[in-house]
Amino acid sequence: MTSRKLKNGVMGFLVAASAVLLIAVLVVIVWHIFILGVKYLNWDFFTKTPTPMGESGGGVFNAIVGTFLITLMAAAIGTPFGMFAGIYVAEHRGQRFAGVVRLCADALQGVPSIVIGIFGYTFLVVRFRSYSALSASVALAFMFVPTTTRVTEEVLNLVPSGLKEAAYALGARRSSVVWNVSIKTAAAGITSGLLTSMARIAGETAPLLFTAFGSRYVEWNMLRPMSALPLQIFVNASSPYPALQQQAWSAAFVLVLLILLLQYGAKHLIARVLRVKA
Amino acid sequence: MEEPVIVLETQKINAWFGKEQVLFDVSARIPKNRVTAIMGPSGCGKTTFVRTLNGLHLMTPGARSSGTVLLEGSDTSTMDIVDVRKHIGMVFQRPNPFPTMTVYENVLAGYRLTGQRLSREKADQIVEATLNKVGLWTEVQSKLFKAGTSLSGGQQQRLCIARTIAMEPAVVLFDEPTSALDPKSTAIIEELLSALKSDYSIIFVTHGLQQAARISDYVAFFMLGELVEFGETKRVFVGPQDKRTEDYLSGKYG
Repeated sequence: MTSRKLKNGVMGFLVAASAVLLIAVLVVIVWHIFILGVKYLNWDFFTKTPTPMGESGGGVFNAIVGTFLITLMAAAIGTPFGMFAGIYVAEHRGQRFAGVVRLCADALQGVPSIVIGIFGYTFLVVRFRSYSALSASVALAFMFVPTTTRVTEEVLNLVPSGLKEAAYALGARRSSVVWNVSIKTAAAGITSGLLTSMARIAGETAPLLFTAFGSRYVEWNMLRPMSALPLQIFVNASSPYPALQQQAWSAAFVLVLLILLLQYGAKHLIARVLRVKA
Repeated sequence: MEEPVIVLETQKINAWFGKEQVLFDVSARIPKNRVTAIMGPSGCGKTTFVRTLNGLHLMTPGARSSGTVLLEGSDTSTMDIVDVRKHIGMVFQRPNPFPTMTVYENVLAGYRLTGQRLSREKADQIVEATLNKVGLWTEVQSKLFKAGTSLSGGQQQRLCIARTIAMEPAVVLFDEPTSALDPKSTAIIEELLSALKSDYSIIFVTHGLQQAARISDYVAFFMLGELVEFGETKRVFVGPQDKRTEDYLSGKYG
């Protein structure tokens, strides 16, 4: 065997092995969570609140409500900012300020979530003297905005320039072209980006530790401390009681399922965008 | 031979992309209700020339231009660009109906994008009349509310022509509109031109000599950003006055 063939064989093996390893890691994690999570799932899990430490039974209804409220509120706060910034960057491509905005979005994406949490704590929780779901939503919005900005920009850049030119040639003004042509053509892609960003923040734990704090009760008031699935997993899994640890696995399973569903929805929409393009 | 009425006149148009100059002092007088072909080798500035007429050239980052464009005697630089583009419509190289709009909506896209409201009857009337003009009505009558992009390539291009003439422009710019189409669709669009020129003045960029000869009444020959020769198509093809035109027509460069 020549050395060229040998190199080819070795590289081919490494590439294939890495691909298999990637799949294996995901399968092990998902399978483990699935096995342990499903075992302890029951009706109470979805409908009841946690029992006092050490007692068996109870559920995480409070955390499920919290995750939905906090994530949706974060998305509601972050969507306009993220989308508008993305539109700005896409429409002013090549200009210096747009480049600065893009750079900042990238930098913000790289800020560790624990730092975002401390920021939320210092500027919201301390200022208003109370842990609250709203401060958690604001902290998560800081993570939501940069990803939304980048996705919006990328999807808008996919809109064929010929369509925009056609609109301009018909006498449309820039605002009309942006809203009626670019955004409408890219709508499915932007929505997909919003779902991906939501999937990303739904699983965040660190920002919540400092802001939402957690609650044993079903809380609907955004100005009060609230639980969320990642918080509940953190608290339960680090408790010494097997029943609570088991509940943590179930909560992890539900959270992973929720995130995978969001990502699947996002992917489905992206597929639609690509069909429109072709 | 009586002098034709002039619909559009350019005076010393120069155009640049960054530091590179692509048009040099182009002065042309485009006759009304005629088909004027813009021909010349690749990269001679044909497309840039038509894009300076409706201001699309300036939308390319780094692009500049100078000179005057007179539309029916008035200087377009003193007009709102929206009005300029309403009077000078454009059909592009690749069919580009709006993918989010139906056939019906595509015809009315110009009204919608410029915020003009139409009554239901008026809208129906424009759609039917315009699609008839481009010979598409009978073909798409049953598909009016399907996506514009669901039509065939040739039909899409006629839909784009419909979208442009629905705005009742004075001049329609065609930028190599058949280069992405099959021969049959090309023939349909070429036939369409002779019907359209009674209502509109047509400027038609083409890469093909034969196409220019077939469809045009007047022809402008461009080379290296200069307007080399302008005149009646028959006269230019039979007796070119410039050596460069003669060389081009005899296939010395293409």
